[in-house]
Amino acid sequence: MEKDISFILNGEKVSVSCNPLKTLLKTLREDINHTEVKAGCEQGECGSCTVIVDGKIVNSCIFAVGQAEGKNIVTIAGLCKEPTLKGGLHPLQKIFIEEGAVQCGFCTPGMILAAKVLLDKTFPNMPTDDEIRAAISGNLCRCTGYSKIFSAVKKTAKYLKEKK
Amino acid sequence: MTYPQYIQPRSVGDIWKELPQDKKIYFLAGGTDLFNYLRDGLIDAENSCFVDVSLLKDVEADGIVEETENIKVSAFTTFSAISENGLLKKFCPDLVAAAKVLGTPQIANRATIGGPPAMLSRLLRRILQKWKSLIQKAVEWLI
Repeated sequence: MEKDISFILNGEKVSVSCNPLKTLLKTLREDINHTEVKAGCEQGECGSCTVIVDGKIVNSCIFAVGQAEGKNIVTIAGLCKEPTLKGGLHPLQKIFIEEGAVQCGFCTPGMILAAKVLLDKTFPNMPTDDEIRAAISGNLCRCTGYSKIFSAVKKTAKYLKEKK
Repeated sequence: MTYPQYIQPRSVGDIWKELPQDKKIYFLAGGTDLFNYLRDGLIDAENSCFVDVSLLKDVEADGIVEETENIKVSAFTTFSAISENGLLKKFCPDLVAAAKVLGTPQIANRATIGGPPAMLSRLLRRILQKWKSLIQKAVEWLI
């Protein structure tokens, strides 16, 4: 049973025709070629498939695409679409690269989206260390590069605060 | 992959109109448990129907409301909403503390407080069905 489902993806309206119980992850990757959303454990544990739905991070691997109807979804590819960035990388992306907070890179999209939601929430204040740890607690890094990820998030928060 | 039947009623009245008689019914809200059961083959997809209740607009589906002597936490309230609610932080700090350690932020943003009781009741029913004869024998023996 297929159904037409429409949602906003990275600022653009998208319509897909698929079974509403197909996961959002599979729909994004297989039907509309958004392979920047990574398929890791596919059981809601690792956070690789994290996307932002209406301002909140969710695991797209356990999210029925039928429930995405009318929602505003942002993937890592949508971060640089913010008008103020003029097509450039988001500060979080830039600082992750500068800090070397990327090893194999598989967890990076989810990690950055989790950090973005935290920074949106705490801005213009700096998040506490505990808040950063809690925010990225749903994203597992198999390379265990947590220290550099942690410092990249902190450095971005400082950068955004000073820029303001 | 075989998917269960899917219905998305827009009102409580519609649920009863649309509910198939010949399938096992699963109510879908956050879906954090149901998808894993489906993937692991614990749900007979061909003979099941997922009733997506996340879009119901005519019930007080979502929210934490202060009443005269109680605080009402509706079934659709997510665990992240519970852990961020000022009223619950003040009067039910243990519930807030429990909601905070329930799972990852991604899970807490989806999982609803109504989900675990619903899943648990289903599990208990399955256990009772499976052990029915044994329980009956035990009861007979006891009396």
